[in-house]
Amino acid sequence: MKFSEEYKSAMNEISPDEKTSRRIENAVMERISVPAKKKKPFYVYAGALSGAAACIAVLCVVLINVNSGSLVKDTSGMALAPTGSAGLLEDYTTDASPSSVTNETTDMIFTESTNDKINSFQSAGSAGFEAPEAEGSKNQVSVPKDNAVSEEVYSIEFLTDGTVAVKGNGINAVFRPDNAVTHFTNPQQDLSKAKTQNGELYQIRLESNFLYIFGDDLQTAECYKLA
Amino acid sequence: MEFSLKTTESFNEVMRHYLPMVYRIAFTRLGNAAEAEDAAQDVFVRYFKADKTYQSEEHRKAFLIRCAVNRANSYAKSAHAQHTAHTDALENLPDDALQTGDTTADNALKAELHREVLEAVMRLAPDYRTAIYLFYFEDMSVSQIAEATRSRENTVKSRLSRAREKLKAELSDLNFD
Repeated sequence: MKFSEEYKSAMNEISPDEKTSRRIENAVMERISVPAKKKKPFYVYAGALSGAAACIAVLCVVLINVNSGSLVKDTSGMALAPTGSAGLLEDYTTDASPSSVTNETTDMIFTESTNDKINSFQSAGSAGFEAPEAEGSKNQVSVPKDNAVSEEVYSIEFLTDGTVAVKGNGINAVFRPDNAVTHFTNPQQDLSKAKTQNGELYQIRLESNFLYIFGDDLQTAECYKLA
Repeated sequence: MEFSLKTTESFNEVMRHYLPMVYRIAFTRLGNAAEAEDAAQDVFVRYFKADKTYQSEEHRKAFLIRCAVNRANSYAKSAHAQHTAHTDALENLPDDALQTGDTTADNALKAELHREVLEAVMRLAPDYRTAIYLFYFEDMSVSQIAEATRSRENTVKSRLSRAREKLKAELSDLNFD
């Protein structure tokens, strides 16, 4: 009788069974998909904005997103912002461009690739749907154009029920989680910016009735469907 | 030739391949199935985030072993572990860990033998257990164990030697070769 053989047999018997393995794998996949949604890739840039200048800059961006251009003029918020802070804001948004934050990341998870997009989603059909309004808003809902890249920064809000409200650029819609992570083989360029009220910046894509919130690799995106 | 997540098998495949090993290393250290599961999760999340390029499959394995050992050590030192006071890791062996499902006498004896072996190993110091696991189960050489655990070869040899002595004494009635 050999110790090594008996020890191997004993250890084999305490190896994780199929159910345990799957549970661990699922938990891992869930955990690694969270950063794609929750990571704050541009948070460090926010640190560059200091004190009152940061507050004024964020306020101006929120006003621009929520209201029309004329309303911003009426509020005179921009006029209050010193030239320096406007410059800072510009630097901030410029630095946050996809090219400057593209990291070396992975190409490997989530099944096989057929073309650029690995986990394709269900085709959204025609773009002529009616998007529901975000709660409490009286703005007219408009349809996001497929893959439309906006120069303007959207306003984005993660609601407590798990849905995401997106406003700005004539869009006011709520999206619910589609429980899917889409992985692209290359960092995506044609993305729009969206900002929370706390100043967290996200790269998003509105495509038909889907919203994609990209992680800092600009390749992995949480998928949301129009609620 | 370089092995990388970007150029070789998918992360899922790596996880599937190495999960049993990582789990067993964590279990060997912690003696607790639930904590071994948590530690294994952490190891693969860390592996994913590291996104390293590996010179060879051996390097990938070594990285995962190091992660598993370190993570299991952290769990063992955590406030929760201290609180639950694992005075005896054997108490945390799952009841059905060594049951084959076959109730014949031979298999019952076999299961009992395996339990004795496992219990004897689990009574060793944590570093000894890891060395025994890597040497006997993973069939790693002393130098490979030294590299994977970032220890000196002499240290590994010493751990193995002492562990064998203790096991020999513990399992003297089983007449191992």
